[in-house]
Amino acid sequence: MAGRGRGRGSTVSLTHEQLQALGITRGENTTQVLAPPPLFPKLENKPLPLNCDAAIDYMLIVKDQFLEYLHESPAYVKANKKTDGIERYSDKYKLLALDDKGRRLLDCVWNNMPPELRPQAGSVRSTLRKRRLDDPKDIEKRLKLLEKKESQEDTMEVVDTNTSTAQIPKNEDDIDEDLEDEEEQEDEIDDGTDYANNYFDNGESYEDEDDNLDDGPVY
Amino acid sequence: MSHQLGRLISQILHRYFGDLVQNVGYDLFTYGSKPIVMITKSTGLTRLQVIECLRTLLKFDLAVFEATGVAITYKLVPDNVLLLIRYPRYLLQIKSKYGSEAELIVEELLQKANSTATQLLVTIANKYKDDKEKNINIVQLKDTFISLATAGYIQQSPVAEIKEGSEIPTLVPVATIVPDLDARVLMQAMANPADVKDTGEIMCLLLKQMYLVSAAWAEESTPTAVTDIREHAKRLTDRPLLMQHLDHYLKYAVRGAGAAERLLCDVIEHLVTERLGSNAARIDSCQEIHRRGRYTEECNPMRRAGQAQGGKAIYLYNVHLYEVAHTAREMCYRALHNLMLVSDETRAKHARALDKQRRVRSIVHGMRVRGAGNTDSS
Repeated sequence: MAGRGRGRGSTVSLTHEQLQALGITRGENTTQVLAPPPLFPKLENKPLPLNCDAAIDYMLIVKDQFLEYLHESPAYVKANKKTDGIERYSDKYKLLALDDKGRRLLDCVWNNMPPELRPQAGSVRSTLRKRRLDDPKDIEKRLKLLEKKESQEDTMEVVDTNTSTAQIPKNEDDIDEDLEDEEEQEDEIDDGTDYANNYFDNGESYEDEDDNLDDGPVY
Repeated sequence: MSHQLGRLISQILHRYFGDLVQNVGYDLFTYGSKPIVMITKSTGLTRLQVIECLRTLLKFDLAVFEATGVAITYKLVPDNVLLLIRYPRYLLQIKSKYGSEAELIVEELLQKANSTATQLLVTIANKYKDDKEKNINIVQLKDTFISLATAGYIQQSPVAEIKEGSEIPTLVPVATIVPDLDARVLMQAMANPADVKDTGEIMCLLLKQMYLVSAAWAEESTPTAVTDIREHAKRLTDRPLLMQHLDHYLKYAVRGAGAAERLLCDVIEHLVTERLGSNAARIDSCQEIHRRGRYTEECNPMRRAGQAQGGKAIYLYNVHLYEVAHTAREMCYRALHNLMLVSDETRAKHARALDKQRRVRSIVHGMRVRGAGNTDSS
């Protein structure tokens, strides 16, 4: 605080001549400007004119083609837009085009991708299981098992338990297992997306974000 | 890594891949590397959308991933994003060097980002099967492909595991595009002075030699014996004086670092002239000369002003080349960003007209295919 107000004689500030050299003088304050600056100030240095030749035209065409290709390809990620609820004639064609695009998956070398980006392994498992059910032999086998169980239930009361103790528990196990299998499958089919399967948030990252927001981007 | 660069990159991603990829890309740019869960949180997109965006980024080599412990983190590569806007120039280079067939190959490859050789060639052959003007032959295509691969314009992409007998994907390597284009700029700059055509010619020869012998972007190339150059020069019959000049020295070397620095100085001088007028450029060039230690008196305009007033203060100014280059680059980023914004807006303004033009073109094309006369289609 002691140094305050005594800056004039100090070595840091400039001398009168130096200030004058820089264009700062006492008394000659610039007149106050009351009007706003012009909306479109005169441009002193204009940009260089574009030189157009065949090479530049070619590059422009190539660029447009490349962009057009990318916009059509699945690499151009779009959000699913909500419609306004009004049915239009052109909707049919738009939807067709969208379906056509939606079905195409981005063509990547999946071996080079991290596992979480690959088209999910979970869906592969479910299709494998589905195939087992589709097999006519399996269906037959399953029907037989159910039949057996029914008949066993009927005979259980009548027949002496000692005769088939070895057989029944094993069969029952088998059947139970199969039933469980089916339930599991149904669960997976109902799920539709695999969003919930992998998502786990332990809450650690909750505070991180807010801290960083004030710091601005990392340079 | 700067604010301007971030803005430019976000704009490029928006133009090429849409706003979702832009969101994810900009998020990765600002935060460095991040796992998927964090991206979903900060961008507010669903996990599936983020996954799709990341696929796109990884496919076009715009991002890399890293497995750290349990989580996999992703990181944007800003330089590769900037390269996206240089694709047309790269294609032009290929076309002028190897002809239109090579252009087709590289164009297809750039669009697909990577593909196996067979798939690529067959796709091109099928696509232009009916085009009699181009007259595509798959054997010729293969030869062109091989020559491109030997020249290093096409490289094998890194694959996690290569099974025996499986096709090896190829891709256009980003690494070779850059030196090639930049060398082209350098070559043009060095070969340009019209009165010394011979110098330009020698320079071209030396640069070619440098490519073959030295490491890419070495500060100074390995010296080339004069006999090698003479061999090359003999083939150029229209330059009689070339041989005489060559004999002055025994060895030649390209000083890449010096050339680049000189080029940078010229660029900066040009920039100052265009932006601030010729007076500023004169001051700048004075500083430049001073920096090189030739003159000491001429520079420093403030000093003379100070002396006229009889003061003692002397202000010395100098050019910090590295920082000036940095500033110039930032200005370029900003200018590019502005240009892209303007072009986007103009395109949006005329979207309907463009759409109409496209439709008319497709109708005309359809009519031509069906064999209608020129009078109808016109």
